[in-house]
Amino acid sequence: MNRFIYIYLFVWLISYDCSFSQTSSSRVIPNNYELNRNTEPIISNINCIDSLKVEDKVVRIFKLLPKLVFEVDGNFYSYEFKNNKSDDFTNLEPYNYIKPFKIHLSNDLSEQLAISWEKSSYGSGGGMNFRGVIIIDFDRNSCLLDEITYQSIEDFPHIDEGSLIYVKKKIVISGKQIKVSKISPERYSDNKELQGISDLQDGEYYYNNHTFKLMKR
Amino acid sequence: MAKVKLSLPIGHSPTVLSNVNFCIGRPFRQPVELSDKNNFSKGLELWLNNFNDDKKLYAIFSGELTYIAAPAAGQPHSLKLELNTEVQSKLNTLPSSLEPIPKVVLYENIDSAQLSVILINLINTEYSVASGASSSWHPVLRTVLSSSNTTLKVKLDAENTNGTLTSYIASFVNDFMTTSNITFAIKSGDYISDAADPLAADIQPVACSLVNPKRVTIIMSEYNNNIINPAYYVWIYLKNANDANVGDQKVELNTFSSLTGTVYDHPLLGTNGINLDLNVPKLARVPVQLPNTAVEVILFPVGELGTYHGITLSAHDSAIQWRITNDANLDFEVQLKPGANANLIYNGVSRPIGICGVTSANRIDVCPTPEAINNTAMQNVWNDWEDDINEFCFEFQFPAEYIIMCIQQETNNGPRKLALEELSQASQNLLAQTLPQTTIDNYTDIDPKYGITVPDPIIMTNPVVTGHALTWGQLMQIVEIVPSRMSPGLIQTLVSTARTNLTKLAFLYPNIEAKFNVAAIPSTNAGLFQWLLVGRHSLLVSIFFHKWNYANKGTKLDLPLVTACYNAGSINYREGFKIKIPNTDPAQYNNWANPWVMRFNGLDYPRNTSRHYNAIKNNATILPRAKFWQSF
Repeated sequence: MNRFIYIYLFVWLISYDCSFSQTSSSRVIPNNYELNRNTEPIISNINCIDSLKVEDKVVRIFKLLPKLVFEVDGNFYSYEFKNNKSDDFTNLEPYNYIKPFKIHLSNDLSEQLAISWEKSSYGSGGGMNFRGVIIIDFDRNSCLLDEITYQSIEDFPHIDEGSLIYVKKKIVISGKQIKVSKISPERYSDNKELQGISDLQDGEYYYNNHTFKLMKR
Repeated sequence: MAKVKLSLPIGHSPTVLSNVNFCIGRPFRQPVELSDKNNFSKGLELWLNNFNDDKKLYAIFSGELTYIAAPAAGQPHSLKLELNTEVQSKLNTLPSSLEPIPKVVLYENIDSAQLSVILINLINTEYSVASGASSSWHPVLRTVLSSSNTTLKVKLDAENTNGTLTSYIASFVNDFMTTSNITFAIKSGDYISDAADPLAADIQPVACSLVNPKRVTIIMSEYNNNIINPAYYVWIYLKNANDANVGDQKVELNTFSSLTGTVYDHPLLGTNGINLDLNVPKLARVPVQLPNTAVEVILFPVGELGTYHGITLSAHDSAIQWRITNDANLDFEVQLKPGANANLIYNGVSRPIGICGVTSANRIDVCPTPEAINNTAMQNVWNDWEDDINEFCFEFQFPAEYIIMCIQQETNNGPRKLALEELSQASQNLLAQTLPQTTIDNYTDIDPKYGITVPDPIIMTNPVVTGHALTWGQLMQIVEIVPSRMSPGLIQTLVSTARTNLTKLAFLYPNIEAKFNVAAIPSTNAGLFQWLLVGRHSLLVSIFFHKWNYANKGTKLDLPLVTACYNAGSINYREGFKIKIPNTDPAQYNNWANPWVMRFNGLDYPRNTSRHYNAIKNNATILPRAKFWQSF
């Protein structure tokens, strides 16, 4: 694994539609607060499995598997879902996109990997879309966060009113902080029909001792 | 990445080539009710020598054993091996199998008396070498005991200290053999039992001259207990183990054997065994020559579909149950779930469930009895597409009844029908990066639009809908950028869905065009749009799509699940429907509860398709080459 000493603090923003954008600014090391103070609850590998593995460079199977296969710095890795967030993740639908980014959540030189992804499953009369974000601790080879941030159900309006049901959870990675907030449904929401969306408590999370902790308001 | 270990059930050694002496018994056939059924076996029937190691049985995969005692005298004892979740997960990553992965391996007719001796010896042996991290122990030693809330290894350590190790292991195995639902974790290649004496009705093959032989049958089934040819699974996994692309190899043969050309030298895989020439595909279901017919057919036993059942999604039970009658009629039938309310409420509106015989007004009609229009429609579809449906359903091994009914449901047998779905704002934004806003506006002016018939040839300057500005040329520009909103062709897959399925199909058939005699698959989305307007092309994509959904999305070959998945892309929950009433405010839409609980595009989708299905079964002239059959 190549290591980088970052001169700049990169800010990765998972915007409301979970796509990444990237800006840069002068690096600021926040050293005037205690990460452990007034923190709860802890995200402790919720929905994660420790399964980041080095893959052979098999481009032919890229994206066809029920796991993420992606390339970082010329190396191929795979990440397998735990399959407990949504019934739809037991199938082998390909990913529409997989976007891996290196990030730095700690004050030390350790690296984490953020991955945003999307997959969809459509039939003749509609379908579903999922988007998610995963954060993996590269050094410890363990998953820190694995959440579905967007889920939609769509019925093409052949007969009835049709429906576009969207629910989104905004997860923003900004410097060493992760902000989780709920986004209002775009058109219509019925939670009984949307089972996979992240149930992370809204708030600002910090990374310490290899876990995320929610700062009390 | 660790590969799945595949061990052979007899003659297993990881280091030495076996010379196991055996005979193959009756050939495999899926359990369909035919007069010659006793000439076939539900699995790999093996006749073994009664000496040396020949009668030893080994775990094919790692998993959990359950002992199934004979239900009555004269019947066999069995061991059920359920593949562990890690093995199942890895096998699911093979893109080169058309079938669901095996979930259960049944060793039918094992020596019950020897079983406890073998398992006690296994624990003793593994305990004697267990040290270090628990991950290195044999899986049975990692079993967490409810009685002590410790692993078996820790418990054995304590028993060993107390001098009661031997008696405890014996009691552990006794519990396994006498208490239902207690499982025993094993590894691929473990010696798990011996084959037993043949049953009274068993007949040793004529060519087999073993003295006092043993007999065992290896039966393999998928997630819905449908029985699949064991030779198919062995073939597909050994093909994978020898994949030219090392990175695609997910399975390894754990039994010592080498290849000579394309033939393994292990006796079970050699010319006297299941003849596993890797160049000769083994079929998951073997073809059957029915009496007085000229062609072979693939028959699908009704199996568990023959029992009334519903579905539970997101903790909601379907209000109705259904089955395919396990008789010569093979009808699809629906009834209320026992104990369920005969009325369903959605958004405060209560309506009666209209099973057959319930004729009250405003009923939720689920009666699958076909009407005259269904019978006529099925005949027309069959007349037009019999050859194509037969070819693809036979090749992919999928019941043709579901394809025939789906054609009618989707397009009323219209190979050049087109549906244009509503463009989302995100799609419009994407298009705006490349196309003039007027082109986008022309599309949104008519979307959603259904029942369009695409002219042949397409004149690109002509309007898609008379009186509206969108031209075919503009539509092709939009298709190229956003292929997920248009469903052209006989059976209405989105262009994007067709592309995905053709990519998957290419893993199994690298040269699709030559194999299936179809025109070159265009690389552009606009080209694929027009390619799908040929009925044969649309059928190829959609029949494979149906098969893929069975193998990977849990449709179980069950009519409502098959149609839900084809229509909605997956099987997921929908509470009810709000049906549009023309010229009314949405607040006044009619509310209809969904007794199926599965998501469909419309409440009439499962009802109509079930009526189509029964119309097929009522028609003696519709005789597909791949179809359901009564099971035994």
